[in-house]
Amino acid sequence: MGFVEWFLSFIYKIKTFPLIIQITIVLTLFFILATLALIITIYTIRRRHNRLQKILENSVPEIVKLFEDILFTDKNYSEQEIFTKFEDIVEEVNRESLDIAVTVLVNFKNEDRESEKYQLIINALGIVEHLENKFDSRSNSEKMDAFQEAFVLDLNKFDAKVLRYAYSRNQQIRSEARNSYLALSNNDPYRFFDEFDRSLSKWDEIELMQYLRLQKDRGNLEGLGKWINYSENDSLVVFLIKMVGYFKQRGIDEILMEKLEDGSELVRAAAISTLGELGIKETEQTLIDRYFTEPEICQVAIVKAIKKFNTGKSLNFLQEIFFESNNTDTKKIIAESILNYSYEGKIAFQNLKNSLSGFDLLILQHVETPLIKYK
Amino acid sequence: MFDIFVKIYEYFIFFYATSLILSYLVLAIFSFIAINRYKSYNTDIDDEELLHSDLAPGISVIAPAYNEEKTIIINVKSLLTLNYPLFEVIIVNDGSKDKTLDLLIKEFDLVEAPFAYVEKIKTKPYKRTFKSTNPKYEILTIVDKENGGTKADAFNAGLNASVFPYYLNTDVDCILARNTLTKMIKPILNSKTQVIAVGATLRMSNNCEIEEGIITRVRPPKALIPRFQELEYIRSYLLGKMGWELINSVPNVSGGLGMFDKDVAIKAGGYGADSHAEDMDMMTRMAVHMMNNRLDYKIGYIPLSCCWTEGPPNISILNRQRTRWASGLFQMFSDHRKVLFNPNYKRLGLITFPYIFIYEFLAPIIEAFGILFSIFLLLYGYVNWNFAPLILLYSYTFAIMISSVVIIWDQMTFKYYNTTREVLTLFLTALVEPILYHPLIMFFSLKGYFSYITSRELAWGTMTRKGFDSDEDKGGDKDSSGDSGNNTDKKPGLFDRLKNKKDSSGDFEPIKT
Repeated sequence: MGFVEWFLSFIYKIKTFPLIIQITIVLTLFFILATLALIITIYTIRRRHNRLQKILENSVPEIVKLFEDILFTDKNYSEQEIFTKFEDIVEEVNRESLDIAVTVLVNFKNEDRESEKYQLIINALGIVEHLENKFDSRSNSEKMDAFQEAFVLDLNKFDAKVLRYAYSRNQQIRSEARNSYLALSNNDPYRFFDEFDRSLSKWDEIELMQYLRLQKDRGNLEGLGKWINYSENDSLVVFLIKMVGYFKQRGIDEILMEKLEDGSELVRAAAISTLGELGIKETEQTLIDRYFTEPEICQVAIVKAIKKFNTGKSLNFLQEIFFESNNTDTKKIIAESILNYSYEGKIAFQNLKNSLSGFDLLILQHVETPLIKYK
Repeated sequence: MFDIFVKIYEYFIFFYATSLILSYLVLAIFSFIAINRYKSYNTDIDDEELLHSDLAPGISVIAPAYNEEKTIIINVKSLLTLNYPLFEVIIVNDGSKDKTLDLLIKEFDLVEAPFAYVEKIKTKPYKRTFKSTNPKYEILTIVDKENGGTKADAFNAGLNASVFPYYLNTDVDCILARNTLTKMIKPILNSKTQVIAVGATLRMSNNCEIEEGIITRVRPPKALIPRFQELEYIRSYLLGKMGWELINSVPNVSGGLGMFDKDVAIKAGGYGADSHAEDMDMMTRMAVHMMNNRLDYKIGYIPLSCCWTEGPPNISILNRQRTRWASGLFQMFSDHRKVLFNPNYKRLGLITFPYIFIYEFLAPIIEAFGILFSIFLLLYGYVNWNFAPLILLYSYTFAIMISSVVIIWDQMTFKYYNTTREVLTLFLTALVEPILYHPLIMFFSLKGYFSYITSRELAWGTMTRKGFDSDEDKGGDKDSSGDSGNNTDKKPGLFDRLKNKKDSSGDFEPIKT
């Protein structure tokens, strides 16, 4: 009997089987075919991967050597020379090879290897156009790469592209575009500060802080403080207050004092911390007066601010609250503040050690020992 | 009458198997979406941003150790090499009877330090804390406590000693990738909803090359048992947990590697001190705590392999490991039975818990019954030889297909193996897994249930380590020497325990309605 006849008779036989067995046979055939397809896919993925690895293995050291020669030596290369030498290494200047080039440059930047000749390579290889293509790609992954690579390579030519995605329906892309705009725009970097509709994630804060650092280097950070008053988004306000302290932006004392009366304890705590960071010592007594009416988060901020002021005027207050606090973590912070609160603080700390016993004494010893890095 | 019973049984098995298959297919689709989403929005440049940021939150890495003298030094060194701007490493010596503590003191220049240890979660008595006089190891803290009998108790002591808002729990036998912390904190940082836990994939370190506590070359294990487990882990993490992640229903973040929100963990009462499935127990407690307080939460998962652990090299050790896990699963369902099918617990009560109960907890029982019943049918000539092989083939081909899907997902995520041959080795393993490995797992699971019901002793750390220094070094059987004296109190039986639960609410937080 030929295969076709056998197959047809088998099909005919299947029709006589119970429904469950018929379903079983169909599904089993599907599983077998799917497995075969998956094996072929695995093989294809691996083949492509091995090919790429081979290219990387051969070309990356050469590319690194070429770029190092261009960037970190006195040799002068023309754009055409760079392109030709790069082409010699990778055989064809295409999307794949340009991606490798960008990765090498990004690694140099991340290793803080500075040179004035990055732009030369970028122009020679047409990296701006390459990133533009990535921005236009349908793949979100490509877009995300483009945002970050443009930032690391300090390419502020993508305002228009980034702006297009600042209203994307995709929340991740929208957020990344808005954050990136702060770094990539020269004209109106804070444009989206009043459009943050939801609370910031911690990652947003990390990215924004990085971009603000770039704006600081460009001398564009002066306008930061005003957004504290403009924004109604609490999480943005808290972040901006922190950044004002971090980047030591002066001239907004009044705004910070106003924020001490804010309804949100997070905003108040951030304002208190920033007063400490900026060393606005005139507010020390105001903070002390508020201490007993504030929640714990603000109390801790007050203690830390007083430590930063380091005036020596509030030693009695610190000792008083050390005895009153029932929270071990807070007590540790207060004890640490006393220990680091001018010369008088050190003496008071020793006196406390002599007078206390039990767990309170252990807290002082814990804070004092240099062996414990994170108290 | 008997014929009707057989018919009903056949239909039950068919629909049980088919629903399981369908659930796997759905999870495969979910995990595909989740993996792609992860890959789209997370880049290595993010790591660099985080490493240079002053806003990176601090993380406490907590690893309990009980009689780990064979591997403790290399593993602690591995933890100290993690790449992250702000972290501490806390090793909890849970009353080891071997030289674990002595070796640590000698290797890391440790001295007793005045440490204000606060017992936020109750544990077996804390003894002392050691810190290093060598600035190279300034982030290392060793907490020495009395043996608590379970890993959970040791984790709780580590939690009490930790200072940072997030903690990573791991085992001292685990080798972590250097970028573990940057990768695992990212879902927490990236989410506007509070993420209470994040998990990542674990793999076997048995055949990997390790230098100075860092994995330098990943290979599938040579020995069959750990290779089966490698495949099983990849399937469980990449297909199962990544799939559940998409609908925010991750049932469990592994005890070998998980990052947690410390505040929520403490408020949820910490790890159940007597729990042998401390990871799932903790996850359930935290989720219950969030729901009781009507707080939104997320449990994240990343598809990257960040942790390599030594898999059981032989059947005897596999037996001990799986018996303990199964017993822990039984204990978990016993302790948290109020969650099961309870609409007040939303997805946890109506999807995650029922799924684990029906397809993981009951599966070995149904399978064992199926085997016994088949033998009975065989003896009495009731087997339909026309159809029986078809049904077996149906299950077998599905198992192979799903393992192939997982191997692709793994290749899609990150190509850990260097050669195509190593990938194909894993595929060949999938061909024999249902025949050789699966029956063993079923048997050990039943043994674990039996042990739980009959209150057999199950101490933590029943894994025998060979160590990373030499493949030839077989090591001693820690279980036989150390664990026998680990828990001297006789544990109450299942029915006593259930009764006790009824009498007092214990430390499980009841639902507020």
